[in-house]
Amino acid sequence: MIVVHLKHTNYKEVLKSISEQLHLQLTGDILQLTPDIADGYFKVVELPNGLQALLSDVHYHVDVTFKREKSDEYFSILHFNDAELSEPLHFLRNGKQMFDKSARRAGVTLSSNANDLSFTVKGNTKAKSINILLPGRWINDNLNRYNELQVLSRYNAMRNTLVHPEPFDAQNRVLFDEVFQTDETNPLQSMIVKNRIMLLLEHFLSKIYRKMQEEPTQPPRKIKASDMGKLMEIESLLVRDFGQPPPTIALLAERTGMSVSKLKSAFKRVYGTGIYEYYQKNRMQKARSMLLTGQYNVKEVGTQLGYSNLSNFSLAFKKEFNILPSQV
Amino acid sequence: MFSFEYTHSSYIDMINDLAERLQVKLKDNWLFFPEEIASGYYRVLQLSNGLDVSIINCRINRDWLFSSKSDTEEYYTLRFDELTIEKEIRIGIDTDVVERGKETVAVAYLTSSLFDWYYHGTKGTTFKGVNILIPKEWLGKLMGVEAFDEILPAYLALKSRSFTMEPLDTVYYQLIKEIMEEDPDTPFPRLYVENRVQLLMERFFTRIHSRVSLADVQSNIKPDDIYTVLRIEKILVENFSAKPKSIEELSRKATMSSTKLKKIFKSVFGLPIYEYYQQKRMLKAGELLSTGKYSVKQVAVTIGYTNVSNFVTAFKKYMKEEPSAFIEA
Repeated sequence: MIVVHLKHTNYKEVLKSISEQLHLQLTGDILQLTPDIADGYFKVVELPNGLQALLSDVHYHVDVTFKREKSDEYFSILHFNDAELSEPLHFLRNGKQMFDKSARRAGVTLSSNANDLSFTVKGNTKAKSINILLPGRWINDNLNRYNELQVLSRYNAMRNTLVHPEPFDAQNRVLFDEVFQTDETNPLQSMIVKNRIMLLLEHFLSKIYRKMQEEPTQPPRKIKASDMGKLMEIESLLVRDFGQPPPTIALLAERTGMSVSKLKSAFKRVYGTGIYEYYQKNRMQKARSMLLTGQYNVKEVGTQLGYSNLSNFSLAFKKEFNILPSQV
Repeated sequence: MFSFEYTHSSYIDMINDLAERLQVKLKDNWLFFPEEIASGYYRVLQLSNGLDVSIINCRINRDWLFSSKSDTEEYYTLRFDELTIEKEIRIGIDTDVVERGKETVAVAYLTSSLFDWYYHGTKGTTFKGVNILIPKEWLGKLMGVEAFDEILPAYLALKSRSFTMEPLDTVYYQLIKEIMEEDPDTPFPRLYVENRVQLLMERFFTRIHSRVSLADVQSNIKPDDIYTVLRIEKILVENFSAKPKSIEELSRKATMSSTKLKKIFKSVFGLPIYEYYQQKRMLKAGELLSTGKYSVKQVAVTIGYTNVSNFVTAFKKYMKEEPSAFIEA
């Protein structure tokens, strides 16, 4: 078991400190891990206005515990995670134990450094994450006319997003994947990555803000934690490979051990759309983002997304965005 | 005629001068024009990464001349302009002049402060624009696009020629619209506007990069020749209702031999000249059909077919579907 201590005030320092604790060499803003611990990397991305993000794409080989100490300066931290958990994720917040028992964790967590927090990732877990450090000062500077800061902390108090992350939606999913999939040889890569992270931030903040405005006193939705984990697993399965036809609902239901009708209604409640609608929305978002890179023509995109008939693809695209793929 | 000249490398300075000149008060760097000059506003915001952005959204009520004198300090201005012109407008960049009559001009382009630049607009013109001031070092350092070092000078040397003016398409329009019509309920308005400005820049540079460098890297074609075929491409596809220009005519316009033109065109666009022409023509047809406003026959005529069944055959060859299937979209 490896224990890493984190002091969250600056991700560059965090990265430097992790490299020292693990006796690893830091290359610029990237920390490449070694196979005795894990395959993968941690990377710091500097965002506009002094914001920072810590990215990681890691396949853990041994158990690693991250311990975060509380600090005086107020920070919120937004964590976007997509992880295949080999065993439950174990949290300890101010001495209180909590577990995320889902096999797949694909969602957003909000935490703050007002608490001591530690969490243990078990060996054989595969995890991608984007963590954004939000100083209270930044939130204040970006306020509109409402008190967003209060909304955030109220949201934080009402929802235990450590154990129940806010699930990804179609937009999050595409942005999240683009952060990790943008081609390194693309000279605009760093700009694209920054822009996607800023959009994730905007999208999440606006979404929870609206949610809190609409239903300020709504209790957490009545979906069992274990079912939530299964839904996240379904979500990841759906968007994994658009070159293949989507899995049937019957198959998905079997996989989760839920009945077809329960799965359908639970999925809709959490993700806001039907299962296939969600699949199709993501597929079109993916098409749009591929076209926007300028690296693929309409035919290549259609084919990669499983369309054998190009005009079916064009029509589906038009249905979603009101323009033809050739007009992107 | 209202004329205003500036040399600043800061939009904040510029809007302050303009406010003084118009004798209006600024509020959070918003300037509302006096009615006799224009109806609408001009605003400036500084992005958190230090870039200056100006946004204009107005209808000009009197002829005006906006001009910027070349400056020794070098910086770029990335402009996204949408002008609906009542009479005419003249855009001058250095010694080149673009004149437009009664129409809509919607273009994205990059200029350098090393050139003189002016907009001479006439009464009745509607002007929407998002302009971003980019210091010279910025592109390379903050965006990590060293690759542009070679491309930009060549790009800028072209000034107002057709290649540099990238027409705005639906994706650009959408972003500009979102910037202009900021949703009053957006909880994080700064973040919202900034992200859209960043996306405009990302798209512009992505497009420029894929148009110039991809072709450049794959072959050993000189940048000048690439620019030439890009210009030829514009001429080729500008009007489908007339007969396509002959290769001889195009090579005359390109001042290249027809063998050389054919070869370079193919390596830049991936297709021989007429095949490319035909493909674009069918895409145009698909676009027109899917608006639902035109019949198959009307579309055929618009893109230069006198015989509808020839059109249907050609369309099926490229789009693998009957033209009528597109109308139902």
